[in-house]
Amino acid sequence: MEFLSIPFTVFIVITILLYYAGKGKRWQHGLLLTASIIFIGYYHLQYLLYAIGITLFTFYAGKLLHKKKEDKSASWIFVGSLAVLVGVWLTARYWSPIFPLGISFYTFQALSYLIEIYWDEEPEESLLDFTLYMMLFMKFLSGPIERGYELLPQLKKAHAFDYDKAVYGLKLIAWGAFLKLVIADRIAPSLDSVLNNVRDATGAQLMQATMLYPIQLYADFAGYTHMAIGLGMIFGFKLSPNFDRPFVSLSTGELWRRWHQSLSFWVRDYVFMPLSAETRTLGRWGIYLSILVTFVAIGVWHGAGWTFALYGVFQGIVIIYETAATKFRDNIRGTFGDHIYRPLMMIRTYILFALSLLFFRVAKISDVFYTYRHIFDGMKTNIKEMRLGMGDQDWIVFGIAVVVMFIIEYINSRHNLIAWSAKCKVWQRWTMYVVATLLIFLFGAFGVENFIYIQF
Amino acid sequence: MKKNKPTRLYLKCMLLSLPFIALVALYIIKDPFMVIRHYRDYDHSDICQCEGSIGWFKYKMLRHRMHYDSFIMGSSCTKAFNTGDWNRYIHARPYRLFSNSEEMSDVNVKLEALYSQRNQQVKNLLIVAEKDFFTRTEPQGGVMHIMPPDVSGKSEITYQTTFLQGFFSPMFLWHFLKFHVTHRYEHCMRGIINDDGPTRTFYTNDAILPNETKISTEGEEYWDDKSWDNAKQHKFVWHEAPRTIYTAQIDYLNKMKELCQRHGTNVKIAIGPRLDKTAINHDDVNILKHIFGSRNVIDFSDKAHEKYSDYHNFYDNIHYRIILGRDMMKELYQ
Amino acid sequence: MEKTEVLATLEKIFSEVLKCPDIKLDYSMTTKDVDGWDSITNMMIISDVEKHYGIHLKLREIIKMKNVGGLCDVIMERAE
Repeated sequence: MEFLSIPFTVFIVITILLYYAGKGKRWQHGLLLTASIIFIGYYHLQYLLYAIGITLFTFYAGKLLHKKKEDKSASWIFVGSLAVLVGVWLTARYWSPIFPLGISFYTFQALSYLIEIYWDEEPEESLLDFTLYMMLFMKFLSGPIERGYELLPQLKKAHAFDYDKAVYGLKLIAWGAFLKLVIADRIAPSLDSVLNNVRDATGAQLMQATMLYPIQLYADFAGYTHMAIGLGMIFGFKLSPNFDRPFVSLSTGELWRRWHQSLSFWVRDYVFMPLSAETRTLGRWGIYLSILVTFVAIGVWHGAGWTFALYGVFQGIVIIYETAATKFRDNIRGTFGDHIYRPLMMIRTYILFALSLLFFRVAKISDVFYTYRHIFDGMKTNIKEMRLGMGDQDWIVFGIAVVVMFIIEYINSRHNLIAWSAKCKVWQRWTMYVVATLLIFLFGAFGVENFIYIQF
Repeated sequence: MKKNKPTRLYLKCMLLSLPFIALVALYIIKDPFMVIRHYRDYDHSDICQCEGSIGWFKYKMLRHRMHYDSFIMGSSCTKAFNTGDWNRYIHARPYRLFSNSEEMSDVNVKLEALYSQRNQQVKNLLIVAEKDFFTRTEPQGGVMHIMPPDVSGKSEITYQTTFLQGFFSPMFLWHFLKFHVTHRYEHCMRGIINDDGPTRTFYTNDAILPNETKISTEGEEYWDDKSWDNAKQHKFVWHEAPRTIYTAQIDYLNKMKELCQRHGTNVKIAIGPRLDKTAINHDDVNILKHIFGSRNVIDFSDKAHEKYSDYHNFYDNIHYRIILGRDMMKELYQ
Repeated sequence: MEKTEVLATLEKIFSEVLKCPDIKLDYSMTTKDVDGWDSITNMMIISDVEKHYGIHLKLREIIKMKNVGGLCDVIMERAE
């Protein structure tokens, strides 16, 4: 079920009502498990079978690994378990007729769980708690990718209803819905019409779609994440953040510390760190190699095909350059000062990210290079073509919504707006609630079906 | 102390959602899209309906009485093809089973559903196509395209919630509420509210054509509006659209053809002309002729039929007139 | 070897790797507290630390280090 759909609304209302109607951990966990099974199985039974299979495998592999940790066979069990998980994931990605939704996310959770046990963490004793760690419905489809040591302790107790947290969660959901409906879904059909058929578009249209796609992707994914985290809060869970204003980044390296954080921190901790530790005798070249492999891993995680690998390579090469050219960049900063350096670097980082995302978005490599070759072509394009099939009102709504998004995120980085709103007077709060609901309702582009990251 | 009591939150959420709950109740009572309950008369709605769904409901309601065995499918351009005119060539029991902006994938889904109906023959199939008709290989969704569960294979929940969400879409809801309060049609409601009265005949689902009556009354004045200026000043130049049929589409079309062959269905494809003289790509036409037979596919948007793009042959910038439809059928079945 | 000595050495190493003269560290500092100290420069720092003290740190030791104090403790353990 999509988050923004009537079946999901009915599902979540019933789940919340029942969750706090009963008492105790067993009741809550049993209900959450049932709800998660319904949520996953609603799409396709096969998705549920994959999830249950991987969950059971990981749970028992973890127990075995811990039991044999002093044994010589521990490393074989470890490598074998990882190989099975990665093998199943690759098989599902490349050869399965139906790609199980969410598999990339929960497989990485499973991998991190086993790696932490190998690194001397204790395995989870309760199969029910572990199953919830893997299959909790609010984060199942598109993350965040949770670490065992963050989420499992939260499953050890029942969650009493916390009014403030629940309200906070609802406000986060509203914000997520705003990003998804008013920004992402509004622009999606227009960008799709260009990026699905790049050879039919003019140069100016290619430029426009390329430069706007990061905003669509961000609003879609961050919108989903806010909703997932908000839902988690209503049930008493604290899920990991996934975004931290990525478009203020001054470098691609910084961007990846702010974009899809649960994934980038995962590959940092479980791919980059071990790899760079093993290659540190190679000095800087070891670091560069580790960066490249890490980002190819990030690219390949996103999809089958060379385009995704090249997406990763693109990021890796830029970050290697940034790492190698630190002194040069510092000199530029010193010469021009922060007032010029910072905006320039933000624009440069954004443009590079937008260009790299073509490998992520466009189906064929040849079409990506076609876009690169033609992106500066059509400066003679007329304004009608620049509309990309969207009316003037839609562009105005989109533009204002994007500006509002950046302003609110900026203010929120300094003063938690949701916490601030809780301190406002009753009439002020209710005015905000009604206005927010109306804005989403009036300006949301209802009808675009899927979150972009749901395909992973 | 307000902590630890979900009841207070539930009450506040209910208060905030009261308008929405009221609207859901209104939706269920009014059933504007006529998909919740069954009706005797689907043809006198105030709302622009999902034609595919309505056509299917009527077909199911009448098929045992009328024994339909031939179908016109395609977009609203099928309004130019009257079943009575068609019957002069096929001598069968025709029905117009069209849909909004229908494409190849939507036709195929309906065909499969027809073949699966007990004792349902499909002797003749007339597909009314346009240049982009053959692009998609997946049926369209959304409130204007989704077909009932026994056609689409989707669940009843998905089907009903699609319409409920369509009802809530501000673009629809605002005009719907305004019309029901003021009982006055405004031009901005076009596409949402139906001001043309009955739009289809009961038994054959043929289009009722008020514009044809207007043309008879007004004559040349019918095309006096500014929107016809480009056509009248011959600003449109004949040109071909980019190719749309590639491997995926070819596979899909071959499967469609095999399906029709297996059931003994005689297929004809008419690719309609356009006011702006954009023709379907000749490569696409060649592929269609290769698959369905050159006598069964006629491209009326090609250079040879450029005269069909004269503005006198059109009700609006998309829909050509029934007189053109008759000429097209004559050429197709000669 | 005193912990303060190790801290002083680390300040020199950090200054060199991060190209920032006169960095002042304390035991509770993490990557969030030092400009330029991230997962990339961390490995360069570790590499220089190992060269300076003639030690080789295991992966698990590197991963389990939470802050500057943790790094000092590991160095003191290994260097003895």
